[in-house]
Parts: sequence; structure tokens; C-alpha cells
Amino acid sequence: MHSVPDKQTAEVGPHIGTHKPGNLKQALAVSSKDLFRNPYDAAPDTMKIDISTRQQMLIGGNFRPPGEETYLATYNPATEELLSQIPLAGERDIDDAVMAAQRSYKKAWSGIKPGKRGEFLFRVARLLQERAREFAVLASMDEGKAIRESRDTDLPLAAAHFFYYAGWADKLEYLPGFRSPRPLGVCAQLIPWNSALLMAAWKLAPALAAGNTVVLKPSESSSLTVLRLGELIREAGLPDGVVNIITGDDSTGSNLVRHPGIQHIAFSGSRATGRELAAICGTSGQRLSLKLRGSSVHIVFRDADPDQAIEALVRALCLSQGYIYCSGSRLLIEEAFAEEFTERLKERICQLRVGNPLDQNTELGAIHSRKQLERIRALIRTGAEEGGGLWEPEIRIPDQGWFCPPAILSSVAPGHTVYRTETAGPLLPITTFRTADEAIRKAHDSPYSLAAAVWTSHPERLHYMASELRCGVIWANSNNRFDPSAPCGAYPESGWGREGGMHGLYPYLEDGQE
Amino acid sequence: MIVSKSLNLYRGGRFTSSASGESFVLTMEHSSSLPPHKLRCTHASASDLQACLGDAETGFRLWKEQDPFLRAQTLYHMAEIASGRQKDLEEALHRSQDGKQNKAEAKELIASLLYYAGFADKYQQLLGSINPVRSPYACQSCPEAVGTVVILGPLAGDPSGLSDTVWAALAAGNSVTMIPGEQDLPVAAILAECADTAALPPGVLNFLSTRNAYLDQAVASSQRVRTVWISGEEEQRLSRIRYTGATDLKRVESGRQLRSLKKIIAFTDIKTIWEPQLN
Repeated sequence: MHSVPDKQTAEVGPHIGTHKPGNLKQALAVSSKDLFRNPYDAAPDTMKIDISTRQQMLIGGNFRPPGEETYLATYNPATEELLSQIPLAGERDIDDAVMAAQRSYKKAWSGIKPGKRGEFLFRVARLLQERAREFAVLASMDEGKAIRESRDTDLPLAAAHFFYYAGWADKLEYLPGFRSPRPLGVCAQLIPWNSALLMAAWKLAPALAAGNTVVLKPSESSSLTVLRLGELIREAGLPDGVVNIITGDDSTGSNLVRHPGIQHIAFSGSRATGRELAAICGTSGQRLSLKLRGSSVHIVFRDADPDQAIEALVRALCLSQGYIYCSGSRLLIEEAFAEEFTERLKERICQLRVGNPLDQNTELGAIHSRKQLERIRALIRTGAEEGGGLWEPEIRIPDQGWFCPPAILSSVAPGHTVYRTETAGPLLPITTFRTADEAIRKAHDSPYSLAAAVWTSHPERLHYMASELRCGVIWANSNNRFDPSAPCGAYPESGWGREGGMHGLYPYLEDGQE
Repeated sequence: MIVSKSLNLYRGGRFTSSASGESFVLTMEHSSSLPPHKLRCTHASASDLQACLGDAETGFRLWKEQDPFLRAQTLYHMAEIASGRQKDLEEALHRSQDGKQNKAEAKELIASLLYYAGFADKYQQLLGSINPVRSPYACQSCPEAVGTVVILGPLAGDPSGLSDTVWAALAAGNSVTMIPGEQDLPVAAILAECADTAALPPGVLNFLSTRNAYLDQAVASSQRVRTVWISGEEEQRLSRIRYTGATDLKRVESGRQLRSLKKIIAFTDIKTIWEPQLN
């Protein structure tokens, strides 16, 4: 179904010839037959990034290789080329990292004046802004996400998070509910592959502002930006051992959370792991904050502005290649409007530019790993077999790299797998409803209630939906807005604790007067 | 003539006996000068718990329909009723030898209800926020009740800790099922009667009496329960319930602190709403 571009065009991106008005018209005429819906000139970011062939971990203020000299390969998902090798942390490395974090918590970090803590974080924010382009390009190479997303969303937002929480460091006593706020100690933070740098900022900034020290473990398929953040943190002059970064696979994470020196665990990722962690922390008494994959809903009423809703839906499908927890992974649409809306949505998806993540035109990049790509394809197949009414666009994708054009399953019932599971890919199951209450019931009919986007031009209906929907974030006539000052998180089934805003500090503090 | 009273369950606004028809005799360790007092109590089974949680879900909806001011008033009214039954509460408070201490404890139960009644329409302002976002959106966060809450009393008994937590959860807008430790059953039964007289909507406050810790696992594994609070420091019990509760990521908290905004934080979730502004 996806035609493959010939060699010549594949090198420069899927565009036709040079951008001359006459040519373009001709090209457009050809394109409808040739499945070229939107010709454009390739505009890849040309910044050269130095990536060493073997990465090192940040432990106690020094970058060092793993004790057992074992490495994991990390690939560029858009080219399938080897990018680098990341260390697989052994038990000794984990122990060293936790010990370093403990030492620096006792000696350095807890003795520092809160205002000074803030200064360090301000410096991290500033450095991140100054090196934004480098980080954006690296993130696109490492995660396969479109450069316009890493450059315009992830980087500014990550820097803003450090900036926001820097200011909190010496104002913690104003937090409601805390008479004498105290840090917890050493936090273990496990972050997923999508928007790794942003996720690291979401977790690091409040933990450090509250006065904790951290052992951070990024996902094996996107550790490069986080390790580079470690370099930057060292450059900012944070005391040794305040932030430690270890890399590895799931077993590394599992060894890290079982380390007795850890006081708090923060985890974003799958529900199964979240449950496991809840059980571990239940018996060990460690504190836990969770942000688990959600199946968030888009609810579109007949009176919504279809263009706005479609644009936002397509952006949600593209954001981290559809993997981000808050993006609309289910579409609920008013029955009378469904057919018209779906047709227009399909039209828009056919215009989508899928390809080289470093190209500034690209809207949808590559899936971070082959395994994930296969998982998404399998889920799409399952959806189709269960009678979901599969539609896939006729658009070009590069012949190399792990690309997956968005798919729509148009008549999904609540019993279907795609309705109940974490889709985690550019896949949109569509279900219809007739009344607002039915929409609410269907939105709640899934254990993953993280966020919802409601599209309607009736303010009363908007407020009704906002008060009745039980989920952590509600976007009215908008979607996927994030801000360091706005708490983001899920109602119990999908998460504990919030990230962002003053509420984002609560998980990292305890009250000295209890 | 003295009609001896046996303790019934209170759920969905009705006093009822157990579905299994079981009951047990509770021996109260009264002050040393008196002989031990015996009391027949209904023994709630797992099926009573399920029925009760169903009632609690309905109760939560009814409680949510009332505005915060009305919830505050209802709780205040309940404090009035409890105040009128202070003598009964004193009598039911068994633990201390000294009548004065009983009196102080009964007063504290009522005072803390009054304290949280005042919170019902204020915590939203303390815990909510207007978020100064960097884009043309009106963004606000507000705390919302988690839903159905179960509060387990410590097995050793601690009426003030138990009631303080119950009031906090009610003031936060939740429906509450309280399952006290054995020695606290008589006090809790009087509080349930007060709730009934004060016309709390049916299902908002429920009371189950069981043998010690009998329902713990059923509570921990029920998917209808959103948050569990153990109002005492019982580490093993806490970790057992947390372990089982992990299957549906139930929040399980514990603590003995009294009159605390932290309890309200534990019984609420933050909802953030973004609305675009035209510019």
C-alpha cells in the first residue's frame, strides 16, 4: 500500500525536483496519480553532532565505563544505523551510583542553602537553552522524532521546567499542607524513551529543587540525550553525585529500584511495571510516584470546529510518534458527525509528511525500535481482524528506517483490544456516541484515564464535560498543551502524583512536623 | 426494663444485619472497676462489603451533587447531633480508666468534625491553583474527591485517629466506609447513628463491623475502592494491603496525624483544565 520512492528522491527526502512554480504545478498534477500529495523541498538540519562510539555513565561526578565492560547498541531509528553503544550497568555500578547519591545528599546537597540549590538549577536551564539546537538534533537522531517537535516543544519545555522549579527551591515552606518541608533522600527515576530529555527534566527539576539527590535511568533506546544532559549538569557545577545517570535495560531498572538505599521511586512507563513497582514499594515502604501509559480520549461533538480538531488529532498522532501518554489514543465522535469528520481526517492524514526526522518539514518521524514497530503493526492487524474497519493512507515512507504511517480503525467497539489497551503508536481507534453522558461513560470505560480533549463550541457543555470526566488533564478545544506551571498526571488507575506546578513538588517532600 | 442493643451494619442509609446472618460477641475491656461488658455485633462478610461499596458509589454521586457549602453545613449539623450524644460517646469510649479523659476524647471527636466541616468549602482554594502558563490559555487546577474511600481503624483501637480520618475524607467530598478495630465498634456505631440523624445522603458514610482485620484482603482487592487509609501505624498490615492493592494501583495510606490538610491531599486528585483564550 505504501509506495516506495526511488533511490534518488529517497536521499533528499520525498520531494519532487526543485521548487519552481511551473514545475510544482506539473508535479501536483502528477502527484495525485503518483501518490505524491504534498511536494516539498527537503530541509534537513545539517548540524554535526559528535557522538562517541562508546558512552560512559555519570557516577559520583565522573563519567566512567561500566564495571563489567558490557554494552548495548543504540540505533538511529530513521536509518537503522548504529549510533553508539551505551553501558549496561552492573550491580556494582548501581551500588556505586546510589552510594554516591547518598554521600552527596548527606555531605553536599542537604547542607547547601536552598537559594543556592535554585542557582544551580537556573544555570542548568540557561545552559540547556544555549545548547538547544545540539540537543534537539541529537534527540531526533536518537528517538526518531521530528525535529520540529524536539526543537519547538521538547527543548524549550525542558529548559522551562528547570527554570520554573529553580525558583521553588527557597520557597518550599509556602506549599500548602507542609509546615516544615524536608527532602526524602535518594530518588531513583526511571524514564521512558519518548521525549527522554523532557521526561528527565520533569523528574529531575522538582526532585533537585526539593533537595533530593537522584539516580536517573533512561530507557535503553534513548539514553544519548540524557547522558549529554549529565555533561551539562556537570558543566553547571552541581556538586558531584547530586545527579547520577546509569544506563542499561529493564534488568538495570529492576535492580536499581530494589536497592535499599533508595527512598523514592519515580516511574513513567507501562502499567505492568507500575503494578510491580507498587507491590515492591508496598512491602519495602519506599515512596512511589507513577505516571503510566494512558489511553486518553478525544471527544468530538457535532458542533466542534472540525479543522481545529483534525489538526490537533493529527498532531497528537505525530507527537512522539503517537507514543506520548496524553495524546489522544481513542477518538470518540458524535454519531451524526462521524462520517463527515472521518473523511476529512483521512484527507488530512494523506497530506502527512512521514520521513527523515531531521527534516524540518517532517511531521511524523520514525518509531524508536524495531520491536515497537512490530508491536504496533501487530496491534493494527488485531484491530482489523476484530472488525475495526482498518484504513491506512496512501503515502510514501522511506524504504529504510522504522516508519509507520498512521492508521485509523473506524468502528471500534468497547470489547476490542485496541479500545482497551495502551496503543502507543500512530493508531487511532474511532468509536461513536450519541449523548454527552454516553461519551463520558465510554471515556471512563478504560482503566487508563490520563487526559481528555473535548471539542465543542458550547461553553456549557464544555464545563459539564470538564466537571464530569475523571481524568488528570482536560483540554478544552485544544490538545497536548504542557507547561511547567501546570500539573499533569492521572487519576488513580493510571498514576500517583503530579508532574508540574506546585503539586509536582509534593511527591519529593515530607513534613518534618509529623 | 433494659433492652440490650446489638450492633448493626450501616450502609446505604439503613441499619442492617449481615447477608450471611453471622454475628459475634465482643468483649469490651472496660475500666477496671467494672466487669467486662459484652456486646453482640453483626459480622460483615465480603459480600456485605461489596454491597456496601455499591452503596458508597451511589453515595459518592449524591455527595458530589451537593455543593461544597452544603456539604460543610451537613457535616456541621452532624457535629450538632454528635454533641447532643456526647454522653453516649463518652460511655462508648472504653479505653481510659479515667472518666475525665473519656470526656476529653468525646469532645475531641466532635471538635475535629467541626474542624473538617469548615474545610469542606475551603481546601479547593488552598490546594487548587491558577497556572501561569506561557501560552494563551486559561489554565487552572483543582482538587477533586477520589471517590470511594475505605478507612480501617487500627486493631488496637484509636477512636480519635479513626474519626479524624473519616471527617477528612468526608469533607474532601468522598463517600466513606469505615471498618473500625474491634474496641472502637461501639463509638463508630454511634457516629453512624449521628450521620443517619443528620441526614447525610444514603451511602455517604457507611459502617461495617467485623472481627479484627477480617475484611482487609477483600478491601485491598476490590476494584471499587479508590483509596484505603489505615488510621494507625501498623506496618505489616499496611504492606499487606499495599501489596494486594497494587493490582489496580489503589492508593493505600496510613498515619496518625490529626487535623491535617495532608489528609485532604491524600483523599483528592488534581484535575488540570486548559481553555484557549481568543486574542
